[in-house]
Amino acid sequence: MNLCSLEFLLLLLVASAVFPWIANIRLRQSLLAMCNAGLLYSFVPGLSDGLCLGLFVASGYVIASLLQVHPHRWILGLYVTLLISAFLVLKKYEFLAVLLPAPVLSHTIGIVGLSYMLFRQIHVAVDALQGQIKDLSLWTYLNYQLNLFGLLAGPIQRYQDFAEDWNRLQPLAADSYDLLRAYLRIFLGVIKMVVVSNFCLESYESLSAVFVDDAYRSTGKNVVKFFMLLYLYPTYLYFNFSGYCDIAIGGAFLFGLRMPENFHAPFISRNMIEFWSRWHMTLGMWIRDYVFTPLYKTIAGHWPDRASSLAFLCYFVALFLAGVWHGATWNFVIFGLLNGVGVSAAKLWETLLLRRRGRRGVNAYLESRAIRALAVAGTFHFVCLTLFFFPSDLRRSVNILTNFVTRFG
Amino acid sequence: MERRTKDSFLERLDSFGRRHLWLTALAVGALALAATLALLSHSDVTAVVYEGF
Amino acid sequence: MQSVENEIQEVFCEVLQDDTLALTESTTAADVDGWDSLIHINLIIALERRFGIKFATAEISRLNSAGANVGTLYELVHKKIR
Repeated sequence: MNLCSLEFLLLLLVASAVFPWIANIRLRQSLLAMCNAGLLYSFVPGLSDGLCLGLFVASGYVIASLLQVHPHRWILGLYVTLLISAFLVLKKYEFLAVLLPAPVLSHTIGIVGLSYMLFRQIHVAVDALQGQIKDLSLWTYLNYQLNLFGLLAGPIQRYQDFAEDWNRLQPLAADSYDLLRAYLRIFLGVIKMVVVSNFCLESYESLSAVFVDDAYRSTGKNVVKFFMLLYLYPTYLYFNFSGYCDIAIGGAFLFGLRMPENFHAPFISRNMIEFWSRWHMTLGMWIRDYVFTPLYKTIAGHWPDRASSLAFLCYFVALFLAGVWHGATWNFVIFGLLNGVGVSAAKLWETLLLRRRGRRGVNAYLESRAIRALAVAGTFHFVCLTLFFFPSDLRRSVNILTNFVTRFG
Repeated sequence: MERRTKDSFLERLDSFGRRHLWLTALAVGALALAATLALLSHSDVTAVVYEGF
Repeated sequence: MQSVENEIQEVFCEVLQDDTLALTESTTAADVDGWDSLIHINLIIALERRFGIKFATAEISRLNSAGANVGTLYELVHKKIR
């Protein structure tokens, strides 16, 4: 069952109409839990997949409980290492082909929403170690991990925020307007996904067919077509993903859950650092909190003199990991590299600017409208370049690029 | 750190919608219809970043 | 005996290299020039050293989120040194 489908919408409308009428919190939780189980069931192909999923999720709860009682860093370290290894194998990361025997990577196990689950799991384990989880219970944890409004593609919510809403699960709409707005958001999300993003995808596919090897015909206006191609994919991705988030966030609201936002006008970002605070925000924040901050903090703590130069490395590593997290195929390595470079370059530019012009000069620079326009345009084009490598078929992407470059020239 | 300027347009839209509830209800109805029609004509739309099967 | 707030103010002045800085409870990162993600972490490190405390990942994240201000920080530091 797909979040963007008539069946799901109908079920959502019915269940959300029933929800406010249930007087007992446990019963309301049970209704939501049943919905979670229902969606999950539709995504578990077989028994072995179900068992793997169960093990993966249960391990998170077991380890978090253990860490609360025995807060030892080595337990966390070992668990996270095992978890990430399992993740790499389950997702069949292509680079593993050189390290592992073929039978291991030819398994047929598929776990729904694994990448998102991984991040939620690591965050809970770290927070449990550091005493930041007050009310860990199996009931809450399972519904947190398997929350139908975050299972398939996020938003990546934090356990504490989920638990706060879950433990007092009740309708959130203060008045009819709040309720109407939630439904508005859901339907808008559907239209963004089905109409707008689909249109962009179809246009993108017909345009890219022009540049692909056998079909390549120099019909003129190649530059225009190529740039349209370049702009269409990110637009498609934006409407598709933000549309899904609208359905998820709007739907969750109807069940008393406040999911975090994932998009905030990403294409008006003036640099790649800002971009990742506007695009897939919950991912950016997770990477900032659980990768970048601990990494930089360790470096700055041990080597304070070299901290500023090593900061670029931290930015690079953090965004590279964010990039390769998106998928197991080689195109995401390029995607990660480009993002790493983009973000560290942005930081480098900022540092140079500060050194050359001082704080006042930087403020003047930031206030200049002309510079802002240039920065936004430049960042948008760089984003388009990074997302050019988002489709899994790397060969096709490279083919399109080479055909455009060689034949245009 | 990144901070946002207030989305005054959205805030104004919100207060307008709140004052004219019937308009909002109408908009919801229209979008619901549009969404239903859209789904009837395109049956299989998934999120690109979905990890389902 | 210096108040916690004054000590925090001193740490800020040191890390941000600005002696004219005057913090109030409602001051946010946006109000202070140069307070970016890196400086945020440098501040955290300096505060940990000054007060002999440790900030958890989730606490650093909370300090970095919308609605967080210097007042949030004061509260947190007070809680941790108790």
